[in-house]
Amino acid sequence: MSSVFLQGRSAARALRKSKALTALLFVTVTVASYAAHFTERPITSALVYLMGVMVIGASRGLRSGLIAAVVASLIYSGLIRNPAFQFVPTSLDYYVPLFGFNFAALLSGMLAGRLKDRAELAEESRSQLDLLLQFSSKLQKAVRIEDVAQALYSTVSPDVIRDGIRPYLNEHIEEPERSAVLKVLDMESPADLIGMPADTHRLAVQDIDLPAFVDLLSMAVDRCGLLEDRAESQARLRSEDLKTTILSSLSHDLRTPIAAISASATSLKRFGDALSPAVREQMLDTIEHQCTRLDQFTAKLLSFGRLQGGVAALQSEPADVAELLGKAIATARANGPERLLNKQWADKPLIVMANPAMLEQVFFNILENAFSYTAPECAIAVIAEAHEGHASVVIRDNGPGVAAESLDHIFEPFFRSNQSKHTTGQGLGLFIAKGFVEAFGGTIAACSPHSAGPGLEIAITLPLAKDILEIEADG
Amino acid sequence: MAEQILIIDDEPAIAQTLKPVLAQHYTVATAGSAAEALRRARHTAYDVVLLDLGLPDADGKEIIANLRALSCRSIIVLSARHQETEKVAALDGGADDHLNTPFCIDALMARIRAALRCPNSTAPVQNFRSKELKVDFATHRVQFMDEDVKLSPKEFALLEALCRHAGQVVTRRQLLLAGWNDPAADGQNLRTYITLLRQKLEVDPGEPQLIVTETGVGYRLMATLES
Repeated sequence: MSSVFLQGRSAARALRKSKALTALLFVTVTVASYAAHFTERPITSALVYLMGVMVIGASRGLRSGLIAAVVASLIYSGLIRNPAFQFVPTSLDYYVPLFGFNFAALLSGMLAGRLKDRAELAEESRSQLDLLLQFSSKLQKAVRIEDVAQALYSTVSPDVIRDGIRPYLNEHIEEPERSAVLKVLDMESPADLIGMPADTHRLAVQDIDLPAFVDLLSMAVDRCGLLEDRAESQARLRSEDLKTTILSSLSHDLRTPIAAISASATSLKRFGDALSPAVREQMLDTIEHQCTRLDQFTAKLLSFGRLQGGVAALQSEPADVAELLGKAIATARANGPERLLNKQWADKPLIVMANPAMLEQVFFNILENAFSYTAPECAIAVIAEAHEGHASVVIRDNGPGVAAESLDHIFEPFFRSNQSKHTTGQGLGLFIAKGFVEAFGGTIAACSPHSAGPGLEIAITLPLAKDILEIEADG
Repeated sequence: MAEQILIIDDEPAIAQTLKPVLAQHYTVATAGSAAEALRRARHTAYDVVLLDLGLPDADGKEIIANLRALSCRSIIVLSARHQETEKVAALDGGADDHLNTPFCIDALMARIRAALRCPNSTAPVQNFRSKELKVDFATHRVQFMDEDVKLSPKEFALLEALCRHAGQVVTRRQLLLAGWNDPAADGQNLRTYITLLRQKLEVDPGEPQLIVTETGVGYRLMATLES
């Protein structure tokens, strides 16, 4: 059924386009009418002719329909009904087909014209809707004013903006919306849109539903403003949070060692002679140890400051991972009791591009972390190797490990897991390690339990220096 | 006569603490500013100068050059740990050694002893002897833990440079000059040769005790000299 309908529609479309087909149709119905008349079917003959005229009127419009009607009535009255060619307009029989055919043509032509107008109107509003839809879906993704400008420039041509949107804004939109939207219009058309598809440029000013279009634009600008405000206030809140945390950490981590030093020093000063040599020695040890702690804390604060200020000026140079690991291990050992370390790396340089002092601090921080959160008898493995263009360093302890809910947070500044609340760390070491490693183009990840036990494993990868890779490839 | 030491630091607490300690072995003077230091150095030829790089009235490089010109024998720069660039500039600009602040007094005493050991150019030293390492500069004979060690000429040149400044930092630039006669030579070669040296002269090359790294600056030979 529907295929018949579709065929009918495509035949009508073909008729609309081709004059020859129209002529052929006319000749066909003429012949059919003639044949019907001479086989004693006068009603069929008249109806066939009438239908032909109506089809032509409907498909080719009023003018063609009327021409067809006049010609058809002449042929019908003169040739078919009166084969003797008596063109004498006396009989009523002559006028009936003339009026009938012309009336049918008029009716069908007018109906066709109105249909055509409707279709054109519908087509136009569809394309306007399409444009609005397209624009709106582009605006959905916009979070900054720049994105709105990009969406605008990729939807309509600069002419439309100049001749349509701008005048409309000035006439119909009130402040402050007007200047907010004008700000978008004043933005330079983004450079990457120069090669945009040409069809967006074809749209003329009159093709655009300006009120709806400008409404969309204004709403998107509003939304971006709100989003920006919110992001700003969130950032402000975060930085306030961070400041509070830094200050509370500072006061705690500075005050504790100072308290110990102060107590030891004043005791020695006042009761020095009365104290046993062992106690005096212990107090002096306290002062020394707490000074080291203060020194390390200030070093970390300095690194933290470097990270907060952005690590652009890192002064990277070729740095030997193996050498810096050795140095960091020696420094970490000097601060505490003897530790069992299982070192696995080749006796040859493993060169990455990094700031050596910062990279040493990365390794030191991770080792210090491992040392302070595990019992002295726990073994710690340090593995370094070259792997697929990267230097990979794994520092793995055999301690109690880190709970899953804490593992996600151990690289955050000032984070201390519940297990580590009692220890002396400030929660900066791993944060600095992550910041520095990432600044050198590397990655850092934590895993607990790891493949060899329940403890914590920190794995670092850093890209090997290029020229070194080339030398190895040459060799 | 005891060796003369000049402490240049604008922080009185440091000078006040160090002066009585050092005065047990040396003659000690202090200066709180660059101007005062230069005034003193004009009258006395100091054996060791301890110079804090954070002086308010002088640029570190400038004062090092001036002190050198006034025939100070050895300059030890005191600076914060993270100031690698500053350290390297001071060392390449004429300072003999550096010490990170804060420091413990043992480290300072060791630096001063190392500075005083370094000979005047008039009396060239022929060999180096410490508890674990013996080096003869003329015959190129090297013994580690009383066993002969064979070194390549490059390795020996680097070891000699480190031994001649035993206990003091030797910058990468100085080592490149010693080994390749070119301060702009490839640092990668230096690293490789230091690694080779460590394999021959360290008990645990992965955690060197003898040839230690001064990160970002150079290397230091840690050795207790036999008297």
